Amino acid sequence: MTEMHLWPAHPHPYRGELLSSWLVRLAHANGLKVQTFCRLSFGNEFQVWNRDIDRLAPAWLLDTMSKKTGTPLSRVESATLHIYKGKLFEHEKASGQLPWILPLQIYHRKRMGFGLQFCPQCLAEDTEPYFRLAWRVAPFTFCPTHQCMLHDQCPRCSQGVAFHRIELGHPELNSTNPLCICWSCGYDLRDSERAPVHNWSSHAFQSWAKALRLVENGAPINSRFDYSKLSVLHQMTKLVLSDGIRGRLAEFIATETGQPKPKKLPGRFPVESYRLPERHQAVGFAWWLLGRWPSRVKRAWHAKSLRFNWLLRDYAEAPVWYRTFAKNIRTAFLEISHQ
Amino acid sequence: MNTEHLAESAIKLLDLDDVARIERIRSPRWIGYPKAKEILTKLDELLTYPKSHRMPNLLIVGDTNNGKTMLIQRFCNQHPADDNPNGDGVHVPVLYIQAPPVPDEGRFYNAILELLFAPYKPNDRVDKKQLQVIKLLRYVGLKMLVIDEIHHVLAGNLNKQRAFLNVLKFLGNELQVPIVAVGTRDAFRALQTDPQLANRFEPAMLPRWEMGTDFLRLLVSFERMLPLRKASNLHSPELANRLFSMSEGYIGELAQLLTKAAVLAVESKEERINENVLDKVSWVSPTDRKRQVDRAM
Ligand SMILES: [Zn+2]
Ligand SMILES: [Zn+2]
Repeated sequence: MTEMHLWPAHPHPYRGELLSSWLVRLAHANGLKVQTFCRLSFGNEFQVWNRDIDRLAPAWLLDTMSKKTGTPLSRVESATLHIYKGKLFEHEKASGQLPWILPLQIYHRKRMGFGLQFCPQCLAEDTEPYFRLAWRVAPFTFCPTHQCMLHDQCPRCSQGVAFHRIELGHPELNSTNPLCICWSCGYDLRDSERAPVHNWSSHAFQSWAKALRLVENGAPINSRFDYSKLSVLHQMTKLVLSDGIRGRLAEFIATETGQPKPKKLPGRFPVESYRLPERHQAVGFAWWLLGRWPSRVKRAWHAKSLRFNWLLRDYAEAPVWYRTFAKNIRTAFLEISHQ
Repeated sequence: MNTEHLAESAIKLLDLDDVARIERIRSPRWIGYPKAKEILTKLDELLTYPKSHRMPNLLIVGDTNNGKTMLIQRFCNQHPADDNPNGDGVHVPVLYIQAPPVPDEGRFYNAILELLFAPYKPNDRVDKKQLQVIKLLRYVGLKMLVIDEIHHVLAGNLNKQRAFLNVLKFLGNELQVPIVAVGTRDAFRALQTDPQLANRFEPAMLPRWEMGTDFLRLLVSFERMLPLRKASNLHSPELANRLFSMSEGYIGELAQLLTKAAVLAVESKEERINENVLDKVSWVSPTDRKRQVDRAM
């Protein structure tokens, strides 16, 4: 019939849609279960769901999806977290923690983690519910459009989101559930609570929401937004969650803002492995610190809640403006201790 | 040179060298004639028929090599599938499919899924494949299902025949599209044994040609399309009678015969089809061919 041999159903990715979400919709549109569709389309020897395809999509997957849906390869690639390169993180790497990107923690095919968040109102407003790239981003703890908190688990059964598992264990089901149905208990995630964001510092939350809107739009180059700010924000969040002088920095911000301290995991964990409520709290503290730059950081330092040598600790990629500031503080410190 | 015997499109081909001209003669061409046009009109009406739970169906009946397939392919070519890479799925207004050699529902679905280039499990359960077929045919916007060689599935075991016809009925109802079946007289007879089905399939006959005005007109149409430099006057009584008996009134046979003769006319520099060319063309009449096959078996 046709020369291109496209999949008969080849819906294109929605705006900001994750590759994995699109792939599951493709399988369903073609009348197959995800696992069957992938086995038939990519071959038995290629495993799709034992890896984080949104972060590290293999070339054979991207190529096939491009060819079979008539979608330019560049568009297919922009359905992966690759679009945040140079914005949220510097380099892609095959393993280990990527700054600001939530890990999926894949054990075989099961995802044990809570690395995919969702806004119930966004899902409810979709003609066909789909999952967004932005929802894999650690500081994306609330929806800038709906001003409500995201969720990182099913409110009924507390399992993480894993829409590729929807039909597993339902041999009778062919492929009909929308992606917003909990794979584990069948709850419709669109019915989850819309908890309003508690806006305790209007300036911090304004900057935060502005950054999230950019993240949601694929982090475009914007002359009025310097992405290095997000890198410094990451360093500040690390400091807020660090053990240094018994968590004095978090203590300091809590006192200044009247907000409760974020609960800390025992030991050293990357920001990205924190669950949503704690992460939200820590990132909020970091945004507050960045406000009125650099006066609040200086104040924290004067209050002995922050040591100058932490500012650049494990932070080789620090932007110049930040590095300059850290050096100035060091000079000021040396002068003080000299007197 | 006098080119009054040729259609505009054929005159242009006279400029080609002999090799290219022969290639054009051998490529398939469509010759319209009243009965075919009537059926094409009928098909166009069916294609735009408003969706309902009782769609009308059509059974095109004709003997082997009497132009059924050519006619239906003519129709399908006018309503081609479109990859629609910028849209959500391919567009398939008309799906043309050959019936499987036996009335086997699973194989029928496999054939449909294969035509759609859909990923599918050939050994999946029949009900699952049926679901997938219905889902996809809806998705691609199917408006008509054409099943050629329908007599294949109407031969043999009566129960299986009935079961298969029920599948067709189910598909038609479910998708709300007309089904056009194409087959021989055997198919027509099989359908007549079930009044309910006979009701749903209106027959359209493509009878064997008889010697008469229509046949002479057909010969004129053929002549106008064959790029030969001289007029053959195929409709002259001697040639017409000869062509009629050689083709035994089957239009498919006639088309083949005239193609061979026209090629010979170019090669021999005769540049027209006459008794001489017809003497030399290697031709076995359909009846003799059938006898040869029967003897070999
Ligand atoms: Zn939202
Ligand atoms: Zn659940």
